[in-house]
Amino acid sequence: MPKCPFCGKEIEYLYSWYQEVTRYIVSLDESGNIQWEQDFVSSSEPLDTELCPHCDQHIPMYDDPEKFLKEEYVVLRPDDPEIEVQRGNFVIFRGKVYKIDEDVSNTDLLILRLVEDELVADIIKTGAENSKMERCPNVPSAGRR
Amino acid sequence: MNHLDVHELVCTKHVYKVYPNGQWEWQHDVETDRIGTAFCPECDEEIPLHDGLSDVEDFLDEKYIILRSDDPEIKRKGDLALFRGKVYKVIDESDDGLLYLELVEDETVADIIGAGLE
Repeated sequence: MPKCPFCGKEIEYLYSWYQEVTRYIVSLDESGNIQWEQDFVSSSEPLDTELCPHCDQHIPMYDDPEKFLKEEYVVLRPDDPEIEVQRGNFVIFRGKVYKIDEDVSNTDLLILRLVEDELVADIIKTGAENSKMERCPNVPSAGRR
Repeated sequence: MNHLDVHELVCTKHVYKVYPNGQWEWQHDVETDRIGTAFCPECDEEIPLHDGLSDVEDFLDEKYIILRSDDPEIKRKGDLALFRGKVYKVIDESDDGLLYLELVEDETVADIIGAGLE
């Protein structure tokens, strides 16, 4: 389930507000009864879209919201504690490998796209995990052996 | 004015869900906000009704009227006013000089007050 970059909660759905304007001509008939005559109906226009159901913040979408809900891309703060490893343009988030979309990411939000090629993802993941182990003080480094 | 133009703004919540089998859909939610605004058909200015659209019928029936406090057709005495031969009670007065008036429907009372105002 994707997570909201603002409140950090799991998002089971997104919601949006749409607005529609109806114009009526309102008058009294000869008997003094009120008459509502529908004169015009606008099309439904988006008012506030892709909102988190927990904190009501707009989550910026850089692709189809469906892909966001399926976690094919994620929107995160750069300091998200669930980002396990960042190596160059690649990030491991919840055990999956994502590539940082540099065209749309900024200092406040990272936009990550899932690396769908399993072989490539495994190579990156293994490389990232090895470099993590190399940094681990409990693992003897080559120099200390 | 023999009618009002009323614009009703309806805001609807749509929910975008993706199901575990990958299907997705937009659902209408029952939560909606409705905001009604009445406009003068001659000048297109908003008529600042107190209670929204529930005041429309009384407004058209002249049981509830809104006037500028300096309207030359008003004769006012305290909370009462005479306008076009009918007696109204002042129910509110806005900072921008509008008077909200409600018709005094009791004929005897209206006659007594009306006589005092003329």
